[in-house]
Amino acid sequence: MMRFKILLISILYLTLALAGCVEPYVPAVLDAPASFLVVDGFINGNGRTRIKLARTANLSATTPPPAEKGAKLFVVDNTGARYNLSEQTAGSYQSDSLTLPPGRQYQLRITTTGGAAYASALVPLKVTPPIDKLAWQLTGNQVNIKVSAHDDAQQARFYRWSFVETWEFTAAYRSYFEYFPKTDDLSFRVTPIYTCWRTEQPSAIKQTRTAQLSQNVLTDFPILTIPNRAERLKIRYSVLVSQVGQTAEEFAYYELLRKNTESVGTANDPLPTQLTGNVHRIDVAQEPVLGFVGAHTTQHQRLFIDRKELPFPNNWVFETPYQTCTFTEDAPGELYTNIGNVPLDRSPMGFSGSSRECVDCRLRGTNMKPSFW
Amino acid sequence: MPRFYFVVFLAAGLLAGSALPTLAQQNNPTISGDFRGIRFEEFARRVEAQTPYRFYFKTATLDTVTVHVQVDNLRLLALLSQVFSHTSLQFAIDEATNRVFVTPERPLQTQVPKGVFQTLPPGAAPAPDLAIAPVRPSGPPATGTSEFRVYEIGPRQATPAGGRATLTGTVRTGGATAPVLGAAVFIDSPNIGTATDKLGNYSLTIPVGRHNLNIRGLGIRSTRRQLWVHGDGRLDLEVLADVTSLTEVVVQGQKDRNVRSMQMGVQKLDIKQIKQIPTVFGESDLLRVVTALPGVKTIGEGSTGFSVRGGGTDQNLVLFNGATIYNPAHLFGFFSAFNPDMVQSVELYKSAIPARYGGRLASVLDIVGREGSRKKFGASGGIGLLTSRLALEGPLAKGKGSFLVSGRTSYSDWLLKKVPSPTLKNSAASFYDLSAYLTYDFNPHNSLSATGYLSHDRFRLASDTVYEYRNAAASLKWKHDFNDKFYGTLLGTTSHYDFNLATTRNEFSASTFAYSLNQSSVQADLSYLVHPKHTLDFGASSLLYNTAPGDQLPAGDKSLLLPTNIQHERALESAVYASERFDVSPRFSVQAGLRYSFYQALGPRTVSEYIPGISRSVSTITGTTTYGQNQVFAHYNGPEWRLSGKFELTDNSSVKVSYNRMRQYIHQLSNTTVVSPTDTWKLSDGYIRPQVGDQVSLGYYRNFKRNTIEFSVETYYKKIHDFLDYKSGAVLLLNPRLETDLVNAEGKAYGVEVLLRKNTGKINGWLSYTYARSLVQVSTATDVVNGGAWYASNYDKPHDVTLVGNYRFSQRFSASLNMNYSTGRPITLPLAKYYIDNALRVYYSDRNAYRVPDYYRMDFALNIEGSHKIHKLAHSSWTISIYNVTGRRNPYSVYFQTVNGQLKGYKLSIFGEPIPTVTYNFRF
Repeated sequence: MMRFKILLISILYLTLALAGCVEPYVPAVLDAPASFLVVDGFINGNGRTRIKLARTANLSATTPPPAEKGAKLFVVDNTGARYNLSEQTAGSYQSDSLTLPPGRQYQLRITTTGGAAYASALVPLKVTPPIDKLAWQLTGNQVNIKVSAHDDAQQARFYRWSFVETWEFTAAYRSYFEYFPKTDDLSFRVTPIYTCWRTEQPSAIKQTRTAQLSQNVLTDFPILTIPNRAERLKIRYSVLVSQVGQTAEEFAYYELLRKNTESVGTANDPLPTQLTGNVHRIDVAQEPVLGFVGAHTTQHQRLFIDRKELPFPNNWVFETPYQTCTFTEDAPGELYTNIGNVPLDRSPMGFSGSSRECVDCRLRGTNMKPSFW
Repeated sequence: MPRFYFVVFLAAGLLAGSALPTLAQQNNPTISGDFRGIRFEEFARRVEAQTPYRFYFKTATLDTVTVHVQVDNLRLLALLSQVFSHTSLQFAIDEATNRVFVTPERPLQTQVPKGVFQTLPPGAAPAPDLAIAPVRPSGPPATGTSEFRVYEIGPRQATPAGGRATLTGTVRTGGATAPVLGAAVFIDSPNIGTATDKLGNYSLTIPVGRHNLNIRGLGIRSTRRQLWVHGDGRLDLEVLADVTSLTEVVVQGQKDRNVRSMQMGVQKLDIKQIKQIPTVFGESDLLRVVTALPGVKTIGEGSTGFSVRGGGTDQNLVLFNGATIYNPAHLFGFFSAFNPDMVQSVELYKSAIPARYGGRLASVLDIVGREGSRKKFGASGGIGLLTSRLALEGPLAKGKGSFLVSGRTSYSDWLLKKVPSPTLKNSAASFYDLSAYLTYDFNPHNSLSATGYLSHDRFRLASDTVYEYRNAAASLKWKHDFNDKFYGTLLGTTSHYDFNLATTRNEFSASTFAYSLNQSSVQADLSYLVHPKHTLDFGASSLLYNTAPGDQLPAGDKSLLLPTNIQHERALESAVYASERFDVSPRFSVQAGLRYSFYQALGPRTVSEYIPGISRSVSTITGTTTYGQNQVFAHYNGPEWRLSGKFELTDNSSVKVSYNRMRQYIHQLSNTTVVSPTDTWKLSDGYIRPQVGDQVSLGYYRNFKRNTIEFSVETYYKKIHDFLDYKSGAVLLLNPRLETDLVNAEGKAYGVEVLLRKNTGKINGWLSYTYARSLVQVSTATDVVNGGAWYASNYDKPHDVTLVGNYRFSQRFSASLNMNYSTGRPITLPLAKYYIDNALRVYYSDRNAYRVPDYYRMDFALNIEGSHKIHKLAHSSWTISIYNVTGRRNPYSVYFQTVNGQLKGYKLSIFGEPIPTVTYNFRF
């Protein structure tokens, strides 16, 4: 029915194009509600279990939600085996790298510094089938990344994916000179700032179920789309796809979470739900606790897309933040002692140059080539 | 009043001492003068100036009396007899003191009756009254020709006060030669009337006393006669023929229906009123006008879904000539699916729903198709920016019948092409509707009418998704009069609704989805006038539902999709009813009705069973049972009471009260607040119980200015039992076990509706204010929303003010103005934010705990009729309208989206600017 929603939204856009409009809207939501515990993470069947504990924040708050520090956490299975987690940074807890026995049920237990005890529901460990194929295809004006998977054990009928995207990009102009404040000197560049790599984790929840299909088979299921003029495709693009198999309950939770986060409130969307999760405070059942702690193994696969593989003409224009950049052809060297201006090359009076935003790619990524590149 | 005069007289008499009045004195003065066209007061003053007489009267009684006499040397007695000859006023002259008493109805006794001061000899008759009073001859029957004369009927005091007398006569016109047949002859208070027979004769039994006798009829000028009824008598009425060749004759009935009719909670609109009201794309829109009535709330702009008195959008029974229409909207609700050319009138029942209707809780919207002309062939139509329509009509079988066929089609694709979106540029949206209405009278006692209706919508998104929906309905109605007092109708209908969706975007999951619903019904309604005070309505109906809740099929060879077929549903809903109206007195009537409905869910069906006592889910299934063809696997039945009473406080005000219970066996499934075309209908079964609604309602009605202004205040309280609500994230399509996603909710609604309406005249329209609440509670043993507390339903908009106005400058120009204000609808707002999976998430408030901004809109339209020349090709008219004149950006929807990791609220307005439209209408 997703297509149908698109269709309805298109109708809205149609009328929007006629006379409609979208304006920002800030409701006067009254007093701040109580601050609830947020449990973010899952029980990892083949690696480290990482759990983040935090509190909810006001909508208008500009600071990140406060971390829940100093809590005691452990994973316990239905046979009583315990795996402790230790706090790494404020609010981040981590276990040793573990291989949990499948066929058991697991839960996470938390005791905060305030003495409140929380537990997640007992869930079975889902063993995720491997990714059979990860491929891309250019259709129309976008690149679709598609995944194929199957499970002979007929176990995983609900899949969820997460992504880590990395791409290589260059700044608008190459700089051959660098200002060295220590020596107050402009000389040949030592630190490379032209080519960088940017990494992003899309927050969209992408999941599907094969329950409707005759076999537990996913064939070329589109999981990610990239517009054909995206900067991601300009030089080289890579995405690390993590696949997890999940229970129906976890699927349902993420489906609601997705609906709550991505598409709530328009006329044709379902009512937002007061979604909490599967964690509850022991003995205080009515206290809302947010987050769903599932248990599964994960499967990863990486995909690369090179500019050379794409059938774009040589003068193909990609949309980058550098499209509006300009540079100064000739200026005295003193100009570049200012941190905001970066020299490019020698010129009659001194140096050509441009703004740091247009020259220093490190403002948008790292100049360290990733290990997998 | 007489008592007052009597006291005055006594005092005067005692003061006068022993002076005995004499009947006539020799030196009686005479009076001369021209007293034409002067008020009585002035007349009295002038007579007093000429004579020693002094007049005693109540100014209030005589301030409307004008004197028309010219006399020369006349005695006072003769003069006054002449003056009062055409009135019911009486006078008495006390010659002893030269005092003249003028009284209404009965003359004053100027002498103490003899019996007061002396004992009467046994057996002696009391002496006759001594006052001088003119004695009118009670000769041959009068012929009533004047509106200004008072006709006395019967000998005086023939019937004691409070008694009744029978008045008979003949109504004639054309110099008393031609009898007037079928003319209404009636008095206003109490409301007693009759119609003249073929010879123009009438007979009325009315209380004695003063009356205004009204005579109305076709071909005669409406008139009245002033009567003073003493006893049985005869009055022939001569009336003027009304030959009007220039203006049309408008027969208006039921002008006092607001006050007089038994019905409460009902609003009737005719197509003329509907057409005056400005709409967004210039097309007259019946449903949009209905939503401007008090107690009816729209679900959203650009939607024709509506809520009546806090009820759900599925609780409205929409009938077109008796056949149910399931999705009365085009293009996702921007147009109503009823072409204005084919509609005669529309009636909305909000409470006191007559017993002949059933099956929905909140309202009945009865749309009556327009009958084609029985005199000549004609065509009419309209051309607008998005749609055009055409209707053809004419007589059948030499005027014994008629036909009307009309159609409408859209050409909105050009609009899509204007949209700067590549997806929409390749899209197409279209719709059409067709209807036909045939009537035929076999003889005066048997008539047949047939209706056919089809509407179709198609929307193609890009090149790979096609969405279609269709309404089809047909009805056949036979009306038969057994005799003058007993008539009935037999109605057979069939309705169909379906939609389908085909998508081929991903060839591995390409699919087609189809939903369909069919219903066929037979209904007999009979009405029997048992006695002038008793009317009995009774009947029976039976309705068979067949639904295909969802069939998903793979499309193409590569599709891996498994065909999914949700079990078809089948059920029979039957009802019998009887309702009796008893006019206890002319002012007080009661109506008591009982509809008893039966529902049987029929096989074949495989039903899952669940562990009792815990929330139904797939994991609590214990087994299944299979039922065979037409085997009853669930049944419900129950009484539906329909009680109402009316008491007329005065001639133009009344109080009405009603209680009704409704049962609904078919439920709409929609997980959105807007009626979207993927909404499906689910029949009651072993788990989905029927919805039951009770409503009590009390109203005060008053008409002003000769029934041209209607005023009403109605208040109601409603309880709804077992309506459907959904668990969070319910899957409503292709769900083989819907009962696991549904919960039973309780609802209540209450409110007050105030309406001031003027239907005729240069200025017409209505102004209404509504205060209404609609609340929901989900608190079952297993499922709870908002902690089990009552919360505002999606239709809860407490305050609503609507003004619908029209001003006719001349026969050719008229202007309309619409204004609407309402409280914003409830919304669930985000309260706090948190992070899960590195993305910002939101924690929401209790369901519907907040509201969107208030709604306000004003529309304006100008209707220009073409010239009124008789000889021209077509009569045409133009409508120029501006929708949302103030350009207020009313929220159609408020929503929150995560943009770059930040949660932002947005307000979407659909018609956020004034929208001008021009429509051209024609008629051959």
